[in-house]
Amino acid sequence: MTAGGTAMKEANLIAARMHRILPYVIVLAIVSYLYFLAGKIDFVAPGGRIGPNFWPKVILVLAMLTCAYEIAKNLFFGKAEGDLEGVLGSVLKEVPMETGTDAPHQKTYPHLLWTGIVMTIAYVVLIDQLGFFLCTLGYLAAFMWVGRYRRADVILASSVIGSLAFMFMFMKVVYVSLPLGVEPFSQVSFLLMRLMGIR
Amino acid sequence: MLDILQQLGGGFVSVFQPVNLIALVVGLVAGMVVAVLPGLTLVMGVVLALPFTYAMPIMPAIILLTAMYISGTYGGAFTSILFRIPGEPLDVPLLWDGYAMAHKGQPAKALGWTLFAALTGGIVSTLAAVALVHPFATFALKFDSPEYFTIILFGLTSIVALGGGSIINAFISLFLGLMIACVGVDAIYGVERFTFGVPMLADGIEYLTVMVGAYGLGEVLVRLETGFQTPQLEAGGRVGTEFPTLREVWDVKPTLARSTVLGIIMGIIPGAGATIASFVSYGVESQYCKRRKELGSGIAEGIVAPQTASTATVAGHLVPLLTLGIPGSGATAVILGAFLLHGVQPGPQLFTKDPALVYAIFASLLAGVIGMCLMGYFAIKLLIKVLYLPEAVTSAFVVLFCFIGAFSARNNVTDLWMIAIFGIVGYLFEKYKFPIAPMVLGCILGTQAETSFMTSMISYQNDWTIFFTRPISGTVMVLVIVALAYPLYRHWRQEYRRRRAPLTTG
Repeated sequence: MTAGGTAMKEANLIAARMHRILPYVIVLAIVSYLYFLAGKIDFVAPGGRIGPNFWPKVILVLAMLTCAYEIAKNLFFGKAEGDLEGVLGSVLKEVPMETGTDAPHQKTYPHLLWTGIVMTIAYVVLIDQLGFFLCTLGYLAAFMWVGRYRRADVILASSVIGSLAFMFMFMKVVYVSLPLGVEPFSQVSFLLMRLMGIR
Repeated sequence: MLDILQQLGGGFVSVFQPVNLIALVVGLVAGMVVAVLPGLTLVMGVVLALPFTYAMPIMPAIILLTAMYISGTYGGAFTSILFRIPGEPLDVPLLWDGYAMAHKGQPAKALGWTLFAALTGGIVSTLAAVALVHPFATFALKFDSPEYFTIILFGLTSIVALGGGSIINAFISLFLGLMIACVGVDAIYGVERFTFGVPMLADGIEYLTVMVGAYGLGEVLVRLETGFQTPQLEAGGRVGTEFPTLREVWDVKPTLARSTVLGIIMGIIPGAGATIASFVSYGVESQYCKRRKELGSGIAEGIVAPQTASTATVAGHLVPLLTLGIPGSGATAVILGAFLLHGVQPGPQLFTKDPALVYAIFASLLAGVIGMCLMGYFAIKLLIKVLYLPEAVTSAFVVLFCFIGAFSARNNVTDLWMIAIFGIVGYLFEKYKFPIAPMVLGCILGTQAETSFMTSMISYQNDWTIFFTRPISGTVMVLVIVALAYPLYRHWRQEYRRRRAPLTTG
């Protein structure tokens, strides 16, 4: 193998290790910050009693140690050191049959995921403005479309019926006060409430 | 004994009250539908049903959720056997012999064995649980805070140790859950912790939002990324159920006995749920069954073992839940949530305060097992039709259920934000193979664990050895150590064998 090829292989190996340790580094950073915050909790503990920061500190130290172990293991041993698995993991290995997880690798659509996340956040942001019915109607229809379902009649019917049914069930039967929205959108909510006999 | 039977009889009278009976039937149908639909998991289904129970009295609420739970352990068998699609992870072992038997031209027979196994496992385990709860509760009355702390610790460590993936990831998930439970005003000192100046966080993070977000929205996001690739189903032939003969049943009685006992034990141990019971019982049969060499080719033992064990865990799970207030699985965590939302704390006191509720739950379980089998027998054709529902449509409604469920608890839009945040966390957990269950259980049991730990420390002048020196807590601590050491031992043994293999063969 050429020197360039070896260097490329090493770079790939390092990149793979970095990718593996990334979640643990993020969790380690978060728990370290929380540990710092735990140290700043203000309290008065009488007579040498342990304070309200003791329990979170114990958990955070354990979390930091666990992350540090996983980071060190991946950095120094890579994949050579197998994962410490739970009992079910070991049982699955020992059952001398196919595990049912032999499905071919599924194609993924990251753009669908991102659209779904943005739509979900938009739903939370807009529900107070548009009101439950309009916001839910839009969300259901958009979600089905983004989920690659293309029968417009089914999308429209199920979104309208679903939104109305949920509104009726929760406002009339379970007595949950769902968001009505701001003017002029609230007029739609009021109209539907009148039609459904919701006071 | 007579007293227990009398209480159980009273329980049946309660179950057959119209409201409770409707809750039971609705729960059974919903559980089966959830188990059949590939996009919905059993825990997710129980979580989504929780908001509908807010306005109900406690008895129908718990009956509905328990019925969903038990029928969910059975419904997934249909799709595993007929279409090779496991509705739940616990149905995976049914693919091996169940689908193989169907493939040999005996789908009705395979379904008959499943029905028989679910019926036997469900009834025997419920009767065993009825016999066990009273002694358990009487014993639990002796518990003080050190005992409670160690038992919660055992529950949390066993869910980590018995899981399917990396233990390190399970521990990180658990610690994050315990930290979520720390957010808000501390129960002993009344001091605010990790609230970041957000007033809503002073009340803590509702574990319902963590559960609904991580299990519900998280799972939908995972499936959305795959573009909702619902498998194409082959046009099925005649679907029916053919019962095994008495002679055939007699032949599988050792399997039946082993799997029922295993299921009950796995149910009682917190963390070891229906999935583990299903796999372990299949594993046990591959070691001890007379026809072990034929396993995987479509024999009855390969169907009876996983189905009996997984159904038997449900009643087993109710024992620690009702007597100690400790949920052993995601679904029982939701049932605990329903108890708490109705202002009832399960535990030994429940047996003196409201024994009618306890025995009504068990009576509903017995009625539910029979009901689900009747449904499985008569409504199977209708049930498998839900498989044809477009996944994008069902998933859109699942997300809506998640949002309304969280919103209904406190009528606060901040909880919708929590759902969105924990939905993304749930997605990341799935993506990076961190189990969700330890986080959810940590979140639910965190406050109880901290309070019993702090109370023990205050009562015994910060002497941590108290957890080891008291007989009950000391024994449980030994179990905690065993639960942690056993996977380490297995790992070490596997690594040792792996490293020795090239030396001995080469």
